[in-house]
Amino acid sequence: MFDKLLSSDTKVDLLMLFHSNPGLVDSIEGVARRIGRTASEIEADVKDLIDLGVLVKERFGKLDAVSFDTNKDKQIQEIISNQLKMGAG
Amino acid sequence: MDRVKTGIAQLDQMLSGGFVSGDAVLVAGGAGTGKTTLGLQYLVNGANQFGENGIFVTFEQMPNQLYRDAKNFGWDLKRLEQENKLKIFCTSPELLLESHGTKHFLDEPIRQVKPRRIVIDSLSNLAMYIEEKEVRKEAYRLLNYFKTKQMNSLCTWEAPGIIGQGVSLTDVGVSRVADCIILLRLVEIESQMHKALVVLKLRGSDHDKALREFEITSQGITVAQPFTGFESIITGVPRRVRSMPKTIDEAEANQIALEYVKKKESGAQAEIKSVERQDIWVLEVSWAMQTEKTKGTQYANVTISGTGEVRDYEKTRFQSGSVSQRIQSKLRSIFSRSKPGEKS
Repeated sequence: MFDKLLSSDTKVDLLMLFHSNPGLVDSIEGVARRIGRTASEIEADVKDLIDLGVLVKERFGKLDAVSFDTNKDKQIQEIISNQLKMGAG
Repeated sequence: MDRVKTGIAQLDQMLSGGFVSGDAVLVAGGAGTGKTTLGLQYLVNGANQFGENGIFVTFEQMPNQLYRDAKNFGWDLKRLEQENKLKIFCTSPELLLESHGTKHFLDEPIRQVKPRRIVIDSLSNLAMYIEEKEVRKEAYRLLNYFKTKQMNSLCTWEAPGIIGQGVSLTDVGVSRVADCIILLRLVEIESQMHKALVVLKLRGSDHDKALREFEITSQGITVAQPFTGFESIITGVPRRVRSMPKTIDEAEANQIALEYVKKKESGAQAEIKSVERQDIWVLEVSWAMQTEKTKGTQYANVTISGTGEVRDYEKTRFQSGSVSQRIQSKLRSIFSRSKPGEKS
């Protein structure tokens, strides 16, 4: 999971964005704007994070909104922390 | 009338007790006037003081910025969120507008938090995503959604122009859908920036009409006394009101008038007959005439300025005690032309 989670710079940016702002519920375009990218640039990475269960997608009208599954936050932090410890060891 | 207190004591006084329950409130102002702070304070006070939960919807400012800024005022937003008293949402305006139909974007958080208060920061961001003619309609729809959910909404509105005549609320008709409008202004007074607050509208209730200075302190917004000594504050470029000279009272005006007549009319024992006051004092005085030629009462008007200077003196009528009206008239004309000792 660690490899998939941090397989691109965009995913790292997305994880940091949602971790710092758990109340963020936005369209893909809106999320992209918040990390200085375009919707097409982040689409694949957002899909990966949804598949991993880190992000949740929900449809409102004609738009899809993505939000952070806060229950996963602790799990992600543990994975990253363990991986860093292993790297240091 | 059920009131929703802001928890800012002086502002609640200005609002005759608080916002009217169920009303949609618009807080308008330029950048840096304290709209977001007022919105947050409204929610934090609601949760901490009045047991009313709240939702804060932000479009531009990220939640982590809000957490940090709120901490400077001693407000722990994260703790309130953990206690399920507050929920901060960051989203894009188009999503809030799009999410109508079977499911609204805010349905779930409303079910979770059971809020009585909601802040939208800001409604003008919404306006950026829709045509100008649609703004009023969309704002009306959104505000009615909040009313249906029995929430008291407070929306901020970024009015263009930091100072000067730049407040524009009516261009897109938003002011008409709001039940209460509070305007925040930056004003320059003697080369220093001050913050001014005024309640422009409070539908169905009396309110304080004074422009008051407010400050953003370490505890949030505090509202002070009305501005004094200045006018045109609402324009952002106030002018100092010229200090008015001391105004004498009626007793002082009477004394000045009588002394003036006594001096002018060789010791005449005059008395005040009537007093008129506009910007100046105008006193009618009279005194008895007991000369060989004239017997009766002479009247005069003495005009005195607010500082006590005699500005005008005019004899008006002479009333004889013994001669007929025809003679009186004649005497009056003679009196006004002749000097003592002259032959008429």
